[in-house]
Amino acid sequence: MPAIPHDSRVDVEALIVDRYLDALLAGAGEPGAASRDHNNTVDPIIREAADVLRRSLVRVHPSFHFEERLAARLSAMASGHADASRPGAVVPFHPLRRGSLDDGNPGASPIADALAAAPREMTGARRSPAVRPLLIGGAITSAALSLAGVAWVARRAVRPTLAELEGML
Amino acid sequence: MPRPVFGRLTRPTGDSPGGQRPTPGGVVALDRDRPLVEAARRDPARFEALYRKYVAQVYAFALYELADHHAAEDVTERIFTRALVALPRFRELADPEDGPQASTFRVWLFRIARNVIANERRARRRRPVTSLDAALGAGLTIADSTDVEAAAVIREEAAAAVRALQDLPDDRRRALELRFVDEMSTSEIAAVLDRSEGAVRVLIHRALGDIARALGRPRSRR
Repeated sequence: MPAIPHDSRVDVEALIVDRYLDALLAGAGEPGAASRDHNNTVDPIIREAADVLRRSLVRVHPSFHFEERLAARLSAMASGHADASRPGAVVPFHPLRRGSLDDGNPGASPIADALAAAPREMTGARRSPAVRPLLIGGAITSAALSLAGVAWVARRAVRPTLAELEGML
Repeated sequence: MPRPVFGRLTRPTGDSPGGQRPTPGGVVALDRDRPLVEAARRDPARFEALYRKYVAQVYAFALYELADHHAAEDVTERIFTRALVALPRFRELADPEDGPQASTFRVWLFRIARNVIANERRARRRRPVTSLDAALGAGLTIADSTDVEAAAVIREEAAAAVRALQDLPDDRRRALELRFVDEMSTSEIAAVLDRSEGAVRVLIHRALGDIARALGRPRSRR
């Protein structure tokens, strides 16, 4: 049987690893499902490195303060305020109110406190593969529990929309 | 439900956000962001939906690339303002094999991000890696404060992984960030990095080998 050329072998290994990563990152099934499905095909060392990266490379969310400030600036640009696109230009945005998530005062916001006290199953070793950790303003939460969504809804409930902001301009 | 069919467009070839041109023939799958993009084209104020959808992904990519919170915010702002200005020149590009979740707007946005971040990296004389370590470490500590020992292990592993990532060559590091942090498909990464899909697969395979070695797990010979 002729030997497989090195380049072809590398391509095949890379393709197998790619399929493994698809399964790992899709998070289908219970923990370890991706590993079991590819037990005999993926180099265990590569598999372990991929598992470590999946646990460690959390998606880091910008602060709500920054997100809202940039949203206001983009809104001003979209509304035809050409000056808003100039570096260093000051655009109006609604000031933060007490109790917002990122004003850094413990106890100021129940939601911020809830985020800070996120239960261990959100990031612990028993986390389901489908749950990706998410870092928001220094606290980790997860898409599965949608605390970020709760926080966002609560925030929008006490803050004007962009349309309202435009009306203020 | 059958997917709409549109005229085939070429893959992105240039770095200019609006530099792509369609070519006739063939079919492509629908960009999942098409409704949002069309709405933003009709009314630029509707760009907010695209911004909300992708701001965390872009910011995370910038943070891992620059390892500095303030620099990441700065480039995120530049990326989205540039995207808003260039949106009228955006051309939808997709291949059927990209799958139903493919978004050529996301690829286009990340190509802008790649260029802006590359310029920023060139302009910066130093890379304060500790900022990213500290940010991730702080978050993990808060999240698992009930189990100090487990939190320490997780934090140590994450710090080692981030250090290993930062030591990779640029192309391997970017490929891993896009794959693991932004959960892009190989085809999307290929479009963002201007590589073939095969090249990206090999890039990621080799990068994982580098990570394994850096974490003290030398690759076995198979």
